[in-house]
Amino acid sequence: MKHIKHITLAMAASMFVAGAATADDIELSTIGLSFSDGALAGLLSDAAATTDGITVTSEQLPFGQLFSAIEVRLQARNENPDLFFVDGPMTASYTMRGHLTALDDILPDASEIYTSAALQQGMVAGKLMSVPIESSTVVMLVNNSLFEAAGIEAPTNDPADRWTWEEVLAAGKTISELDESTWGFNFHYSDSPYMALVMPQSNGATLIGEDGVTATGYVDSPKFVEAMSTYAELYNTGIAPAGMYDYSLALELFLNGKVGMFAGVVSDAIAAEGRDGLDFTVAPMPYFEGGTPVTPTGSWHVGINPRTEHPEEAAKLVQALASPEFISAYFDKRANPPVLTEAWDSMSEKLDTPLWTLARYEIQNTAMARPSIGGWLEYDSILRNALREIQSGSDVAERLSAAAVEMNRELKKYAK
Amino acid sequence: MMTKKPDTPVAIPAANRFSRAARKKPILDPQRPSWATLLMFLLPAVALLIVFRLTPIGISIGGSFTSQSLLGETAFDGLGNYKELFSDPSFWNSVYVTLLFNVIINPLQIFVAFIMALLVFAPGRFLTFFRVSFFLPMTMSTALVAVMWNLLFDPNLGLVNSILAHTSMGRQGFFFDEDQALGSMIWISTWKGAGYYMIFLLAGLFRISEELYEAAHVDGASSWQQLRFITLPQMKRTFLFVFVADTTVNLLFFAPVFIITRGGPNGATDTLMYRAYESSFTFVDWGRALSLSCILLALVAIVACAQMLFFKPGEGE
Amino acid sequence: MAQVKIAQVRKAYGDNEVLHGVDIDIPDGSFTILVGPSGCGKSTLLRMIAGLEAISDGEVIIGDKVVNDISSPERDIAMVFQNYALYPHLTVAQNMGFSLKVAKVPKAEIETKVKDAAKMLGLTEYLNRRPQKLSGGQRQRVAMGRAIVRDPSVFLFDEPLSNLDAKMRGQMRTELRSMHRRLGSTMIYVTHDQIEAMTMADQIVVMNGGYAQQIGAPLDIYDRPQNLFVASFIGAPAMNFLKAKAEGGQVHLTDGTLVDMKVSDTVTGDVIVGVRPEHLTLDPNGALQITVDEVEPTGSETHISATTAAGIAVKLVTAERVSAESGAALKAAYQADKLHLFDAETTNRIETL
Repeated sequence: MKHIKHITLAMAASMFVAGAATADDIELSTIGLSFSDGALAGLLSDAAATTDGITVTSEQLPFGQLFSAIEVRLQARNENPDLFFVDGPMTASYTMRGHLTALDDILPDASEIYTSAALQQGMVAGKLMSVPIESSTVVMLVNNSLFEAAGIEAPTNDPADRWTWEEVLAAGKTISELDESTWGFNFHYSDSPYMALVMPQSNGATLIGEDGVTATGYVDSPKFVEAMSTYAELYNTGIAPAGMYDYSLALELFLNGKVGMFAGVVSDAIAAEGRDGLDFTVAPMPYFEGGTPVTPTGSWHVGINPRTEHPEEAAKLVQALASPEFISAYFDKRANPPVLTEAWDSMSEKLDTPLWTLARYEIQNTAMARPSIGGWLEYDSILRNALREIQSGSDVAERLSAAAVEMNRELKKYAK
Repeated sequence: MMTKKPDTPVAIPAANRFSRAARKKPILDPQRPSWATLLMFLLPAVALLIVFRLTPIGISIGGSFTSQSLLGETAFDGLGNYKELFSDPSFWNSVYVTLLFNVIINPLQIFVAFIMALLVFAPGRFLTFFRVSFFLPMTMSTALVAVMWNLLFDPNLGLVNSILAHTSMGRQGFFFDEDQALGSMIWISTWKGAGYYMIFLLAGLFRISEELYEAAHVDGASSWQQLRFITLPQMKRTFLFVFVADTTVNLLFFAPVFIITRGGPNGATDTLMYRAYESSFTFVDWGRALSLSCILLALVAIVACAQMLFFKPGEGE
Repeated sequence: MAQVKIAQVRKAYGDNEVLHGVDIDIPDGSFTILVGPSGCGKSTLLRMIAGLEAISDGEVIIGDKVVNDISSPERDIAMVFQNYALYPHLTVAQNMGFSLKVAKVPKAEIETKVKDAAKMLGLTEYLNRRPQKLSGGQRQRVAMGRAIVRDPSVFLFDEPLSNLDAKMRGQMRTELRSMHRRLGSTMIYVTHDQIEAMTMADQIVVMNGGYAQQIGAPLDIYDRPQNLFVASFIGAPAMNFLKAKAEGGQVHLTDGTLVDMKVSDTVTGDVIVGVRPEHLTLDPNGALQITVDEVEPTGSETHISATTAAGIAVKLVTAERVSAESGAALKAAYQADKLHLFDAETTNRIETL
C-alpha cells in the first residue's frame, strides 16, 4: 500500500514538474529513491532551478523496486534516464558495464569537499564515477526501560565503552526472556549484507578475493563463519526475531518498546525521538573481542548515463547536487549523515547532539564500506538469501560455502 | 444463389466455363470470401498475435543462443547458455521444484475447485456463504494474497503461529522451513486460485442437462453413481481446459516466491520462473534468463500437448 | 404389472397450487394417456408418479404401495423423457444397460437383457454406437429400450414423440402400441396432441387448469364430452359451438331457429349447442344458413370455414369435394343424434332426452 502511495505521489510530482517547464528548457529524466512522500522530486527541481534552462522529471521508486527498475532501464542502453541513483557499492558494477560517466572533470575538487567514506564509494580505479548525496552509518539504539526491567546496565554512547558481541548476546538473552514478545536485539535490515557484514569485518574476515570475483575461501573462511555463527545464535536462540524482513515492521517493533538493542540507521534514531514514552539512548555498534570496531556505512550517489543526449546539462545538475544548499535541503527531508565535510561545520547547530556526535565519530573512525566489486548486486543478493536461511536455522558453514559457490558462478563474468 | 455458383455445370455454357469472365467472383461473394476479405478480418488478430506473442517468443529463442558482454555487446554463443544450465545442479533443483509443485498443485487445485463447484452448484443452506467465501480470494491480487499469508504465517507475530503455539503442534516455520515452504506456497496458491477454476467447473456443471440426472435417478443411480457416471464423463472437456490452463499458470508460478521466499529456504521454492527473473534482474545474465524462459516455454508446450492427448475427448463429450 | 391409483393429488409451489386434487384410476396393463394443453399439469403429475417431484398432498399408489415417500428407483417404474435423456458418452448398449449396471447386475445378464430389448426394437446393429450418431427415431427407440431393459411394472412417457417429424411420429405410435401389447405393462403417457391420445390410449385423462376434466375411453370422450373444454379439446377440427336458449324442453338458437333436440323441462336459460364439423353436412334443405369463407381441400376430405346467419364462425368437414367460392351462401344440416348441449354458465354437459 505504502509503495503504491509513493508511486502515485511520484507520478503526481513529476507531472507537476513537467508542467512547469518552458519550451526552451532542457528536460532531464531521473530515477531515484522514494522517501518522505516523494520529496526527491522537489529537491531535484529546486537544484535544477539554480541552473540555467534545466528542468527535471523524477521517477521515484521504493528501495525494493529501485534496483530492478534501474537495471531494466540501463539494459535498454538508450539515452534514458539522464541521471540515476546509484547505491554506493553498485558504482563498480555500473561502471564495468558502461552505465556511468566519469565525473572528475565536472567536480575537480571532489576529493576536498566530500567525506572520504562517502567519496570512496563513488570511486572506481581512481576515477570518480558517482557523486554522493547522502551517507549512512549505523548506531545501536538502546531501550533503557527493558534494560532496567532486566536489571542490566545499558551500554553508553561512549565509543571507548563499546560493547562486544558477547556482551550483546548475554544481555540480549536476559531481555528476550522477560516476556514472550520481547527481544534482546535486532538489526533493522536483518537480512541485508549492509548491516550483517560488519560482523565478519569486525572479526577480521576478508569479504572477497583481491580479484573481486573469488568468493570461495573468503565468504566461507573460518573467520567469516565464526562471525556469522554469532549472527545465527542471535536469531536461532530467540534473542532476535527471525524472519522479520518487513523493515517497517522491524522498526515498529523497536519503537513499541519490544526490542532491547536495535542496530539502526541514524534516521531510525530520529524516528525514535518522535515516539512518546520510548526511553532510549544511542550506543556504538558492538565489535568482536580481539577484532576491530567496524560500523556499516553506505551512501547514495547520483551518476550520469553516458548515453545521455544532454551531457552538459547533466553535468550542471550534478554540480548543483554538490552544493551545500542542496545537501542541507536534502538533510531536512532525510536526516542521514551529510556527505560534504563542510556541512558538518555549517550545519553544526543541527548536528550537535549525542546521536550526531557518535555518528560523526563512527564515520570518521570505524566506518567500513562494502567491497567495491563489479558483481556487488549478485554478491549482495546471494548473501542476503544465505542470511535469511541462516536465520531460519541453516548450518552456517554449509550455507556460506554454498553461497560462495553460487557467487563464484555469478561473479566470473566480471573477471578481467 | 445456386445459379451463380460456377461449379453448377448446367447453369454455365461449356464455352464460358473456363473463361475469365465466368470465373470471376465478386469480392464479397457470401459463399466464397476472397483472400482479400479473409485477410481484412484476420489481419488485426494476426498482427496482435505476431507483435505481442510470436515476436517475443522469437526474440527469446534467438536470445537464448547469445551471450552479452558486460558492455552489452551481444554475441552468438550457440548452446553455451544451455550447457551451463544443464551442468548446474541448482538448475536441476529448480526443475525438480517446479515439477514437484505442479504435480501436487494442479490435481489438488482442480480437486478443491471441483468440490467447491459442487457445493455451490447444489442448492443448499449455506449457498450464499459458500459462493462468497469461495469467490472472494480470487478477487484479490496475487501480491496481496502473498503479503497477507506471509503476515499470517509470520514466525514471530503471525496469527497462525500464535494460535498454533497454544496447541500440541507448536509454532511452525511455514515459509522459513525448508520442508514446509513449498507446501505453504501450494496452500496460498490453492487458496487464491481454486475459486477461479471453480467458475469454469461451475459453468461445466450447468452445461449438463438436468434430464440426464433425472434419467439416472430413475435408473437407480445413487448420488455417487450420478457423479461418477454422469457428471465426471460430461465434465471431461471442462476438466481438460481447466487442467491445461491451471498447469500453464502454475508452471509460471512466480509472485509469491518473489515476495515471500526468494527461492529459499535452501532452494525449496526456487521455481524456474523465479530463477529466470533472478538471472535477468539480479544476476544480469540475459542469455541465461532467455534460455530459462525457453525451457519453460518448451515445458508448457509439452505438458499442454500431453494433456490434450491424454484427455483426448471422445464422442459424446 | 401394477395398477396405479392417483388419489386427491395436489401439487403446490409455495402458494401457487398447480394440481388441485386429481383422482385417476389406471388399471393394470392399460395404456393411459394424460392429454391437455401446455401448463395443464399433466407433466407435473407424471413426474410425481415417477418420483421426480414431491407430492404436496394426496397419495400416489403403485400396485398396492403408497409411493409418496419411496424414491424413484424403488417405485418399479421406468421413464422415457421428451428429449430422450440418453447418456451421450455411453454407447447404445451401455445406455440401455445403465440401470442394471448401477444395480450391480452381473455383466452376462445385462448383456442378454440388452440384446433382447435391442432385438425387439431393431437396434441390434446400433448397439456400439453413441447416441448422436443415431436418427431421432432410433434415439427414441434407445430411450424405450432403456426402459424395457428394467422390466418395470409401469412405463412413464413424457411427450416422447414431440421431437419427431410427422411421418416418424405416425410410425412410432404404431410401434408403441404394439410394444404395449407385447409387454402388457401399465403405461402412462403424457402428450398435448389429442390425435396421439385418441389413437393410442385405452384410457384418456383430459386435463386442464390442474384438474382432470374427464377420464374415459377415447371414443366415449369423443362421443360424450363432459364439458365445453373437453368438447373443444378432443376432435379436430374442433367442435362448433352455437349459442342457444332452452325453455320448456326446447332449444332455440339465438336467431330463433328451433334445434332438433329434446331436453328436460328443468333446463332453462342460456345453453350452448355443440356440433362437430364432421356432423355438419351441406344440404340445400338444411336448417343452417351459412356463408362460405374458405374452402380447404385435404384430398381425403374438404374443410369449409363459414359464418352462420347469426355471425358465428363454424367449420364443416365433408368427404365430398366441394367447389364453393368464398362468399357463397349455402345451407347446412346437422345430424340430430350427434348434437351436444352444454350449460353456458357451468360449461357442463346437459343430457338430451
